[in-house]
Amino acid sequence: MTTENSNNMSEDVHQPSYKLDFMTFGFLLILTALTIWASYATGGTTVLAVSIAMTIATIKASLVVINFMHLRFDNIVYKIFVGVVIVLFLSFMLMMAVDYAYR
Amino acid sequence: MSENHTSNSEESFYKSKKGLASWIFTLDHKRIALLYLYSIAIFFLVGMTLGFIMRLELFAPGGQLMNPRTYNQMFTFHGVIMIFLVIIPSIPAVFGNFMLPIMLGTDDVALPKLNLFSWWLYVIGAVMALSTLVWGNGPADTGWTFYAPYSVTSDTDVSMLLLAAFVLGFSSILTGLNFIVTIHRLRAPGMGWFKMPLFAWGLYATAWIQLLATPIVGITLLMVVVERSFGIGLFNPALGGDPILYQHLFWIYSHPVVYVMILPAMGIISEIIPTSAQRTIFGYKAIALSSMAIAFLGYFVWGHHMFTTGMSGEAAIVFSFVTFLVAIPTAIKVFNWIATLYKGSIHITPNLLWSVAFVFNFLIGGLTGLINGALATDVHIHDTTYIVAHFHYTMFGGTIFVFFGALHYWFPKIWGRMYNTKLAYWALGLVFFGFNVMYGAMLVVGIQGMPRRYFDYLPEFEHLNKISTVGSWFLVFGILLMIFNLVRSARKGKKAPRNPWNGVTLEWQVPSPPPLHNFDHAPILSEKGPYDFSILGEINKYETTKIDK
Repeated sequence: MTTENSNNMSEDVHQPSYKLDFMTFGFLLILTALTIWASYATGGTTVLAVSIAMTIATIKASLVVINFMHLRFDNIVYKIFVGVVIVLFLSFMLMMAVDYAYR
Repeated sequence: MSENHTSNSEESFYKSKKGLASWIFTLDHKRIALLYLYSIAIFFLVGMTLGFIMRLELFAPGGQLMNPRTYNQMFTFHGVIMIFLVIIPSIPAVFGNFMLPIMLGTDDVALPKLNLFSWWLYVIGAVMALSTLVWGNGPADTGWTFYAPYSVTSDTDVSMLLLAAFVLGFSSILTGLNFIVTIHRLRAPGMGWFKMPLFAWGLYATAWIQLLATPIVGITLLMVVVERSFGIGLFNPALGGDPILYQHLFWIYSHPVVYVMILPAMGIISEIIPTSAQRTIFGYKAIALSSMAIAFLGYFVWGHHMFTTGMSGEAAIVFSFVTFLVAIPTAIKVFNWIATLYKGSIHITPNLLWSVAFVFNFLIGGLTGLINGALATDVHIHDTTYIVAHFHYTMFGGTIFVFFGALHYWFPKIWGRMYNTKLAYWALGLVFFGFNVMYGAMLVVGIQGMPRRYFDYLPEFEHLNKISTVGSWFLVFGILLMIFNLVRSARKGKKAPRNPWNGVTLEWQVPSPPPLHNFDHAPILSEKGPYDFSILGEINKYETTKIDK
C-alpha cells in the first residue's frame, strides 16, 4: 500500500522538463564534437584515443539513461539494478585486465 | 458478462480455442509453454540420437561408422542442439512459462506478446541451425564453444550456426525479461518476496543472468561472424587478434549460463521435496538467497575454463578461489533438501525419486567440479573425457533429470491425467543405471588420459569405452520408455484430481488442466509462507467438490 502511494506520488511529481531535455541534447552534441576533436588531437595514439573516446561515450550513455530514459525519476530499485550492472561490467573489465597485465 | 467469464474460465485451456493458428499465435502462457515443450522434445531426441551414434562410433578403436570430420561435426551439432535448443530454454521456457503465473496467483505473464515472440525467435534460431545440415559446406566442426582462431578459419558453415545462436540468445533474453517483470509486478496480493515459491526464486535469479550475460556472448559471436566475413583481426592472431580474448568473452556468458540451466532445476527440487515430505521446507530464506548468491558469484568464475590457455597465473588464482566460493551456496541447498526430508512424512513417488537421483548425480557433478576448479588438478584433466562426464553429470544428471522429474510432478496438472507409475519407476531405474554406467566410465577413462573430442583412441581405453557405450543403450531405452509412458498417459491415463500429490503451492489450487484464466476461485495464501501444510485441508475442499461433480 505504502509502495503504491509513493509510486503514485512520484508519478505526480514527475514532470518532463523541456529545458532539461534540450540542455542534455546540447551537451551530447558538445561531447560528440569533443570526441571528434580528440581523435585528431591525440595524433593517432591508439590507446589514448580509445581511452578518451570510451570515457566520453560512457558520459554520454549515462546522460541518456539518467535524463532521456528518466532514471532520475525512477524508483530506487531500478537505480540499484543499474548500479549492479555497472559493478558487474567493471568487474569483468578488471578481471580481464588482471590477465592482460600479468600474462 | 460475469457469468460468461465464469463458465469459460472453468473450461480447460485446451478447449478454449481450436486449430493450429490458435496454438502458434496464442498469447496464453500455458500454450506457449507446451509449444516450447514439444519443440524442445523434438530437438532433445535429435541431440540424443547424435550422442548415441557417437557412443556407437567409440565402441571400438578406429573408424566404425563415420570419418573424423563427420565425428567433429556430430559432436558440435550435438552440443549446439543440447545447449542452445534444449537445456537453456528447457525448464524456464516450459515449466517457468506454465507454472510461474499460476504459482504467483495471476492469469498470465506480464508481457504475453513478448512471450510468443520469444518462442518464434526460438523457432527461427532452430531453423537457422538446422539449415547448416543442408546448405553451405556442412555444419560447423568447431565444437559448441566455437573457439577462435579455428572458428574463424574453418571452411564449414560456422557463420550460420553462430547467427542461429545469436537469435536464440535473444529468445532467452526476452523470456528472462518477461519473468523479471512478472515477478515484480504480478504477484498475488499478500505474496511478499519471501512468500514466493522457491521455483519462482530460481527463475528470478536465472532471469537476471539471461538478461545481463546473454548480450555479451551475442556480441562475441557476431564479432566472429564479422571476422569471418570481412577479415577484421579480432581473435585470429594471424590478423593481429587475440584468441584468449574470445575465450574471456565467451565464458563470461557461458559459465553463468550453466546456472541458467541449473538454478531453475534447483527451484523445482525445492518444490518436489516439501510436497513429497509433506512438511515445510527447511531453510526457505537460505535456499532463496543462495539462488541469488549463485547467480551473482557465477559471474566471476569464468576463467576456470581457461587455466591451460596461457592466462596469467595471478588471474588463474583469483578465478580458482572464486570458483570454490560457489560451492558454499550450492551446498546450502543440498543440506536444506536433505534436512527437509529428514523425519518428514515421505511419500515415495517417481517425482521424489527423480529428485533424489538428481541430488546423487549432482553431488558427483559438483564434487568433480571442485577438481576442475583447483588449478593443480585441472591441468591434468583438462580436455579429457573427465570434463565431458563432469559436465554431463551436472547438466544431464542435474538439469535434465529434474526436467524429467518435473514432467512427472506436474504431468497431472498439465494434461489432467495420471501416468502409469510402474512404467515410470522402470524408466527411471533404466535411465539412472544407464546414465551412471555411461558417464561413470567416461570419468575414469578421462582420468586415465583419454582426450575429449577424439574420433579414435588407444587400445588401453577400449574396455571402459565399451562399458560406456553399453550404458548408453540402457539410458536411451529408459528415455524412450519414459516418453512412451507419458505420451500414452496424456491420452489414456486416469483423470487427475486437482491435487494428486497433496501440494500446497498455488498450482495445486487450480483445476487439472487449468482453465484459460487459471483460477476459478481466489487463491488461498498462508501467512506462514508457501509451504504451510496446515492449509492443505482448505485447499483440498475445492478438489473434493470438483471430483464429486
